[in-house]
Amino acid sequence: MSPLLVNGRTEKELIKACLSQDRLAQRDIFNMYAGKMMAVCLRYARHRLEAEDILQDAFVKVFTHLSDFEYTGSFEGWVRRIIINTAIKNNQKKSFSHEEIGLEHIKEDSAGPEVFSVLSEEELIKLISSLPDGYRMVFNLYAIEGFSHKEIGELLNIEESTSRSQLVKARRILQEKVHELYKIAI
Amino acid sequence: MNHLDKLFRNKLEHISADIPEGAWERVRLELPNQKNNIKLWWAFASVFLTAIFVYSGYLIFINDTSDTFNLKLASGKGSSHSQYEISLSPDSLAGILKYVPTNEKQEKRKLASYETQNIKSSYLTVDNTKSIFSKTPITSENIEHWEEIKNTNKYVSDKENADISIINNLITAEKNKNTLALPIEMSSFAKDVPAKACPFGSEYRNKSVDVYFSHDIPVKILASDSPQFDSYMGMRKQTEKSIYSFSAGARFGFNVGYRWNLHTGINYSQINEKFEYIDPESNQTRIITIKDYVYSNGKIVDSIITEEQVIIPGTTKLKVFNKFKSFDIPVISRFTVFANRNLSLSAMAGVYLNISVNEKGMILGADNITPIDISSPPDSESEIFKSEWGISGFGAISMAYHLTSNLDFLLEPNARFQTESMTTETYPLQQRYNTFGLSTGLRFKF
Repeated sequence: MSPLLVNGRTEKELIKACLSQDRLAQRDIFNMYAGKMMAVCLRYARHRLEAEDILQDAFVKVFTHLSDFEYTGSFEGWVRRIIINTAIKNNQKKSFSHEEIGLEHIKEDSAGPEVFSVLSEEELIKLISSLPDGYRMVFNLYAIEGFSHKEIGELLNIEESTSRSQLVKARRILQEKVHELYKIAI
Repeated sequence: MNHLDKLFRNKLEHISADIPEGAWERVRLELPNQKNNIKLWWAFASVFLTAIFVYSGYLIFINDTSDTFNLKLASGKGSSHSQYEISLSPDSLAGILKYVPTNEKQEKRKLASYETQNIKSSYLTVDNTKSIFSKTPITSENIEHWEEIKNTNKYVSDKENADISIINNLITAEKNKNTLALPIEMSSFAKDVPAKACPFGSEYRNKSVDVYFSHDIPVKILASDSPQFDSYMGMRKQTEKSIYSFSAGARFGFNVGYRWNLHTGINYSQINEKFEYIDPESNQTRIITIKDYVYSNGKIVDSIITEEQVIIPGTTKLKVFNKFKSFDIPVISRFTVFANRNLSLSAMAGVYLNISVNEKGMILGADNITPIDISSPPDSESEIFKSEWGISGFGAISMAYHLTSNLDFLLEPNARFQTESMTTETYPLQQRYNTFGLSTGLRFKF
């Protein structure tokens, strides 16, 4: 399969050009991945403005640390990892107090998965964004990125058991929120 | 991973969202500067220029001044065969060739020898048994010595007379080396004889067309009549930086006298500069979305989404590339200082008559705070730059390397000086640009 060309250059050629600070190549790389990465940022951020900040910071890191990319995996995966790390660091820098919600506050009669399937991607992102910071991070990393609890523990500097419990709580909050929405809808 | 996780992953893993407006610009501003290719270019140009100058120096000062040819003369046959070398100037050589066309075959061989050896040496066979040649070369200093040899030796045979004839010719050639003309049959060598090869073009090529591209470095000059604008002038100098600029054009040239040529045509110049301004106390306006949930008995029963405009204290960074584009009519005289078979060197001086100018970009306004747009057509109330810049002085050293008989490669270090301010009288500062450049181009002579 021939490599995908952007303005006559392959991804590898664009990366090489970016290493020479070629602005056109950097813009092409940005345009190639900014949409996908913005969707990632929206999942990790509380609101769109925060997502935009993460996207900006992360792409600056992408271009300034491009020499570290070793072509061992996909470039998109490498960029995504930088986005995720930037989102995590951004979350850790926040000065506000960590939100805690106990399991006792969550109703057991929450919505089933079939309700989620009718929700749009935008609605799902909004649901994730509404999760408390810690839960949101764990849910994103585990459910969507596919990290193990051990890896999440290392990434977020928390215990593996904390990751597990936060995942459970995140799921239940999501079910609860959908349940509420569902009830409002009918 | 449970069903809920899979559902989220399947729906969200590969989706895209809208790229925020201006996102790339914000990223770009945070990135380190581009590698300065201009520096590399100038390094390359410097090396190239140095090579040209060194080669020119070789041609002018070494090749020409020592352009003597070693004429090998052989006499005798077999064991009595001996060879002598005589150093000759190009003109002397031409004189020899005029007088020593033996027969057609020998002439062809001789000419071939000149061609292949670039007239550095030739082999002239003199079929005599009693050679009178010694190892003493015939030069202007020892012509008397050779005349004495000629007069004191008695030769009776035709062959010996041939020797005398050659010596006569050599002496005559050396004596008249500055006035000897090439014989018609030697015209094919005219281009190879430096002193006669390039008679400043005036006789053979009296018209020419130049096309050129010049890499320029602009130097901006700001001045103020009043000290109250010194601070503003300082801020402008601080926020604006001249960068790589260029000019290009075509000019017609015609010969107006011995060594004198006049050129005119059209020239486009683009002066580029970078405007960078950071306002550390500027406010940013952002729209935030607020979602309020309406609770009833501890349950969400409704939600209200509102948008608010908030002012966030922040920093504004501006980075704009300014362009000053102008069209001019050059009127330039050129005096040929030096010329030989490979190149000519000329001094050029003249004026550029500006016919149109166009600005684009931003500068700091006279209030020293607000960046203002200078793009043409300007707002009549905030007009800063004139619509034409008047006359500029121009000077250059033009080096023309003869690629063919009617095509030259041009290399011209040049300078251009604006004589008038680019700004209007209502603007408090006077602004001029002087540019220094290196032009490369081609000259077609016809």
